[in-house]
Amino acid sequence: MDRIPILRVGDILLVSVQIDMHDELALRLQDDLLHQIEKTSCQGVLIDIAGLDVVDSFAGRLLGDLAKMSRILGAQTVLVGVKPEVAMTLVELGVTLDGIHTALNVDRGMEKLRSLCAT
Amino acid sequence: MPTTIGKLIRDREDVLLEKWLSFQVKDDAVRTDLVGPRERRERSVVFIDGAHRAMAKGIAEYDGDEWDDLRAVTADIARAWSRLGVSPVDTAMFVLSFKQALFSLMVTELGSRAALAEELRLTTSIFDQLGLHVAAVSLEERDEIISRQREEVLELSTPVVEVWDRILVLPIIGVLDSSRTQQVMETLLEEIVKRESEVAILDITGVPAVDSVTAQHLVKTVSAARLMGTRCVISGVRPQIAQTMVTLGVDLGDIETQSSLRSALAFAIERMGYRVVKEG
Repeated sequence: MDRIPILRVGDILLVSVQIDMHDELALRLQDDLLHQIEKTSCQGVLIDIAGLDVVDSFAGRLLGDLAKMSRILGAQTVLVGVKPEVAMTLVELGVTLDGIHTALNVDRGMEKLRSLCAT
Repeated sequence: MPTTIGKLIRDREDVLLEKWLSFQVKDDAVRTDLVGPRERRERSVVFIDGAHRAMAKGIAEYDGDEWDDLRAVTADIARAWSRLGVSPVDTAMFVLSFKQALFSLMVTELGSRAALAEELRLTTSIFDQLGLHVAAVSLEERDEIISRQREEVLELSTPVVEVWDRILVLPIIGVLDSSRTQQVMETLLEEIVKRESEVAILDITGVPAVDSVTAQHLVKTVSAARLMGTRCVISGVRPQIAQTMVTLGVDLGDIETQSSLRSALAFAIERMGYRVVKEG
């Protein structure tokens, strides 16, 4: 069974999505991640989707929901590595992920997450 | 069985050519300022040759294969002359003037005879249709030129400039329609990746009017850039545009807007954590 690995770096959880997120995989990621946040009581989550060429509306919406759920559990989420074509598709699909923080790459995302957690 | 007209064209080719050339000048059938005498002569020779070959075995209907060659010849003329700036009507007149030359030749050579009536009827209608054909091809060629130029203008009109460390400016000039927005969005997002920029300024000083559709396009572009972690500022919003937007009920959401490029740049620089101070 495929699983998306969740790595712990300090008090940040790092999720790097490398394979196509079909619905089941996305839902499993949501479960796993929320459990990890609860278990580790970390302050921030960084989701890197640089490996994805296609994000459908389900996965897009789920990423947005995930950010909201994490916030309820006390962790800030930053989404990084959105490719131009993915960004355009998501906008066309009407998934603008308004509440979620975004950054260009992992490096910038870490920076942003640190400043978010500090406040 | 060669027709009288077919034979006449074949036997009196030279006379016909001279007659036609003189008709072209006399009736202003050809834009002599755009098409030189040599070009005209060469085209006319090819045309007459095509006509006589088409009529070698009797006068077929215009739809027949016999006229394919002549149609190709006239299409060639139409394309070449469109590029020279000759209007479709003038190019059609060139073909129609051939009739004048032909009929005047017939009158001098054959006198008016009732037997010619049927041939005349067919010939007239064929050359009229050729005239229309030529006009249609000219118009097509023009359309192609226009669409090519439109593409060129589109490409020229979406530059992305890095004005400061990780700050991009995208001056948008002209009307923002959906194909244009697509291009603007693509260029912007690619540049964001390439330059790792954090703030992008969309300057709409050069956009003549903003209606709800244009605003929708702007919102889309800003949302897409935001998904990639770049903050967008819309600048160059003129008082007039602000008025129409509010009157139309256009909602820009929480998109940052500034009245001038200058204030947008100041905003972006401050956001990046820089401070511009005068030395000394």
